[in-house]
Amino acid sequence: MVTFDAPSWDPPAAVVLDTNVVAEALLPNEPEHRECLAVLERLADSGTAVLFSRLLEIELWEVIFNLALRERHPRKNLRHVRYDNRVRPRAARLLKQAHNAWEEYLRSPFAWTRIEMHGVAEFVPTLMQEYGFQSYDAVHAATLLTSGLTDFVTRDGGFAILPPALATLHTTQARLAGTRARRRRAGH
Amino acid sequence: MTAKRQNSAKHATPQLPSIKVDESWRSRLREPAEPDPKKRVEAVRRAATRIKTTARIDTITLGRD
Repeated sequence: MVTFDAPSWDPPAAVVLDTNVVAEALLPNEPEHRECLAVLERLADSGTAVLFSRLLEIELWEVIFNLALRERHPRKNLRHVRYDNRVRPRAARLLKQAHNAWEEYLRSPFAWTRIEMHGVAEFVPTLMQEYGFQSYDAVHAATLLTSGLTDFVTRDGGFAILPPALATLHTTQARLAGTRARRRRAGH
Repeated sequence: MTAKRQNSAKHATPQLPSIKVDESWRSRLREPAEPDPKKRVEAVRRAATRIKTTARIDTITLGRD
């Protein structure tokens, strides 16, 4: 387990990216925006190959749609206002901006590839069964494990359930202690 | 991760899942759009200025709440 916002962080030859790091980097108001933008800059500056699941892009659109909901309903449970159709024009504008941001981002890695979900879907039930992952987290875990890589850039300490031999988690310094504690609780 | 998943993790026995590694992605890697690292970094910075919102959201849960 390593921290990507530590000065000593050395980008690996290839990494798998998680949605929450990309979303945090592309949204300037988020609490770990600076750290996540910096890690994407480091990856761009290095010769690192970047892999990500198709699900990352779908989840990014979900974040953006929920932002539109949050703008209109700052204090409500978003599940209760999900189908408020007054939100949709604003959501459409934000989604367009997000598409542009993502396309711009894809100009930055030295090399990248998108892993389609149909290539990993058969392993999702196994990972849910073995580790208790929710289905969408299992898609990211399956993307990592089937790629033969171990370096996973994520802010989600939930992936600490994976044994260290399978996953080296790259996270923020602020999340390191909590992520380590989760790994200990998982018996690793 | 839900509290339920954390709780169950305490009792999990870590095992290597029987997952088949497929490294064919290596042959599908996209060439860099921009060979100059400085320009690649600039692309990231530009990307981070595209989305204009004042709202904040938990990006780990994707804002589901």
